[in-house]
Amino acid sequence: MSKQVSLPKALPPTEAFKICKEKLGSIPEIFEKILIDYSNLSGLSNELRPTKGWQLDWTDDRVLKHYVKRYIRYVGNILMSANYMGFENVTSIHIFGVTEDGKLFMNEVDRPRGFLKGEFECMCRLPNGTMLFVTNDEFFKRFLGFTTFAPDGAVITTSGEDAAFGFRLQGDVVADLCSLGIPRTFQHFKHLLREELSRRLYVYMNYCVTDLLYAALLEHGLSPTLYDRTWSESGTLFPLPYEYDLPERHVVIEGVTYQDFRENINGFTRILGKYFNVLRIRDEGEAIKVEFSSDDFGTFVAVIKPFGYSFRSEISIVVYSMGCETSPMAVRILDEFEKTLDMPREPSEIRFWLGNHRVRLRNFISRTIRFTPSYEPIFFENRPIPVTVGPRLGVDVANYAVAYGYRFISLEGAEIHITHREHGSKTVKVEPYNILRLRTINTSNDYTRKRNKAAFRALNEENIDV
Amino acid sequence: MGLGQTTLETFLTVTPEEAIRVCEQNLGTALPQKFREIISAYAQSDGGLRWNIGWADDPVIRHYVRENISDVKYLIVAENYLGFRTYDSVYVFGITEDGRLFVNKINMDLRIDDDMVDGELVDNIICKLPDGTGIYLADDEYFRTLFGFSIFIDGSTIRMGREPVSGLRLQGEIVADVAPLGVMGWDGFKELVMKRFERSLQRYIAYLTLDMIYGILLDCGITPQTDPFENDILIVNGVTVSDIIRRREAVLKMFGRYFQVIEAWDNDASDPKLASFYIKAASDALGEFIIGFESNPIHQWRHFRIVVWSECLNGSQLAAKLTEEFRRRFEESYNPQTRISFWIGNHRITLSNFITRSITFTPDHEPIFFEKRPIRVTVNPTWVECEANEYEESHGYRFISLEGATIRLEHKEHGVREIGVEPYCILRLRTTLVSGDFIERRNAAAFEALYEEYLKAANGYKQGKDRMG
Repeated sequence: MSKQVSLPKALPPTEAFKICKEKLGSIPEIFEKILIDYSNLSGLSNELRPTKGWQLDWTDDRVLKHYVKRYIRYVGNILMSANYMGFENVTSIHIFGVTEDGKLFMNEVDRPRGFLKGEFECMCRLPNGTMLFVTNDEFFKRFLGFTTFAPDGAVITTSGEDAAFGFRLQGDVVADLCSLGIPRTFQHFKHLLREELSRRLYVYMNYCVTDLLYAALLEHGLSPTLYDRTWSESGTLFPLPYEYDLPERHVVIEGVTYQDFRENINGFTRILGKYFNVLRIRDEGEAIKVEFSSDDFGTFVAVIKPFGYSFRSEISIVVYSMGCETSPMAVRILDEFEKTLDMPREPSEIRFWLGNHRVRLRNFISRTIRFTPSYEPIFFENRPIPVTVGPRLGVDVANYAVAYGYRFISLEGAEIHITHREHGSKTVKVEPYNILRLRTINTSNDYTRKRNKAAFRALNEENIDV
Repeated sequence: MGLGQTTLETFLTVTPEEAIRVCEQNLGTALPQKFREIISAYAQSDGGLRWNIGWADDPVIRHYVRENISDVKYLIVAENYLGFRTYDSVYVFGITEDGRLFVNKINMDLRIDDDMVDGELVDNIICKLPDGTGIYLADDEYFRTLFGFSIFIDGSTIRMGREPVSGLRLQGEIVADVAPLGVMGWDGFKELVMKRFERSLQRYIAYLTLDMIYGILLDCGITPQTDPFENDILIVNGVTVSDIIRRREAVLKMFGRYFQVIEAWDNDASDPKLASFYIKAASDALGEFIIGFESNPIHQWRHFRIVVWSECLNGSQLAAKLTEEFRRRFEESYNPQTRISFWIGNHRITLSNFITRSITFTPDHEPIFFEKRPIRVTVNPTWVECEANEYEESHGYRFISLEGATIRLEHKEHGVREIGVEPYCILRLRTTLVSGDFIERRNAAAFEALYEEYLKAANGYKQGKDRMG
């Protein structure tokens, strides 16, 4: 004998709303109107029936009306929480909610495959067969991609943790924070910046020493060609504009084969010897490494390799540091950098738009600072050194990369001022020395396209009405 | 009567010493000593296979000549240059302004076999060396044309009339091309800059208009996007141009709230994928402009792009404000003390009293949604009719000389030169022409020379040590 699965009892929408309200405590009244409107849809079974019969007398927003009429259909389940109501179909969930200023909003988010994870309780069945569940707000917040709403004047902090995610600031604007992992003082921040510069300084020193080498080669009648290359993640070389980082500068000598160079390496070391102390030559077959040092710059190795296609006579020379962090030049540059940081400056304001929210960041700095030392190379252009501050955390800091949107660092007195035509203005304070990411809540990929279509229909309707 | 020979050519064959004399007679002047030595050395080199290089002081030239100059078809001699024509190139020897021998290689368009001669030289044979290599007479201009310059500036100022002058060799391989802007004095220059600014301003006002349209669309609930690959357009997804045309009244009404709509038309395309719609509108701030709604037939989604063209800025308050701001800032920022310094090869160039041809100006006025971007003003000569021309900035004409403009050139071997330039000219600095493989072959020679030098030093050290030991 097969087991009988009993369906929950079918209730009219007012009854259904009442029991949900009893369960959840309070629910926005407008949800009842939406529920009634949805339940009044007539036709075949829920799965097959497009929801053409929406009355939509519960909203004045023409764009929302067109959107709901056209796109909320084939609803399987309705999920309700204290502040949100979701219409779930196979691919997406249309979430209704009420904004902080009491306005109804609707968003569409992609529904993951398989069963939805969360705490649900089946309350009843609507007359048209749609099941009604209650859940908690966290379920919807997780889908929308935020955890908490930050009211006007609030201070957002990481609360002693490494990171804190999903502070909804206004409308669809959300902030994520990641701690720099240092005591929150300017002295420690300055120390961190110096440390970061010190870590990246070897690339600049390589550049300066390559410049000297280039000058030496020119002086001896050779005409080297220059290439800028940087390492991609896969380990292959490709050219990139130097804004991204300081790339390796390759000095290429055309017309000299690697074999010739290898056999006559002493000619090269003689040039090098005029400007540096040549320490050692290591022939490793595929590359020759000449180690040399300078009193001012430190110790370096020039790696000489065949360059380009094998049938061409070309060799490349790339200079790598073997220890320059404590060289007099490095110390001079680091001290100069620190002096620059100590210089008093005007309070900065970074302004941009996120959707149609105007965002102004006060007392924030960009995560990548560019510092141009006063030392000037002889032949090469004077390049700035990009210093990107990373968090000093025990966790995987790659998740907080600039590429993922963590672009700003909060300083003392950091504030996010956000303005919207409908939502108004508000200010949220940010705990100093955190990395900030600003993003929007999650939406379905085709939400904008669908909304534009609905907006255009609304525009036309408005014109006809007049 | 039977004659011994059917051609006079054998009469031309002379010994190397006689060849030098014939050359000097034809040129009417004595050849530089180095050229004499090179001709003699070549005559004894079995057509360039065994060069006796005693005449060359520079070890790099020694190696270069030994490795590269062979299979010579004929020699070309001029007062200051000596060329060795090979199958596809000419190796040219010359004497620099400071008396040093140099060699260069220039590619030739015409590839020649034995017994062929370049057209302009065909009647200029003056004699033949014993191995049969002909010597042809040419003038210095022939070589200068090959090198891509016309004259060496030995005075202290580049003077010019109303015509552009190209190929002024300044030092070593550095060549300047200069063209007048066609303006009279600072006031004329300022007027020209302002005229060019008007054109750039039109594009900037179109950008501001697009920014405003972005805001209007957002206001109506439509979410436009910018194109990461194309500047100054908006993309609207989910709606097609056909939708716009079908419901044009709604669109015109929407824009009518912000601008004065003058007229609207579409392109009557039979294929809805090719439909375009245009609105001519005007506003007190932005002047007259056209808003274009254009389809992209390749795009599979329903979408269109919005483009704006500024038509007329007469009466535009914003344009007047920006023009005034630019005029003030341009006059204030002009600083004759500014120096522009860079390297060409191993010549350090310092330009004084020059400005770059493109002036960038970032107005105080801020767009609402788009980023604040600078207006770029490129100053073209008044006599240039077409925007695309050989005097474009992209062709290297990057600088404009002002009153008291000078070019300072510093080179380790050539020394320092300072040359004045007439004011209000555009300047291009470049190098003389060389063959594509000259650098690599010269590098190979330099490397050989370097090794030779090392061996000499090492042997000297060893011998010294032996003697000591």
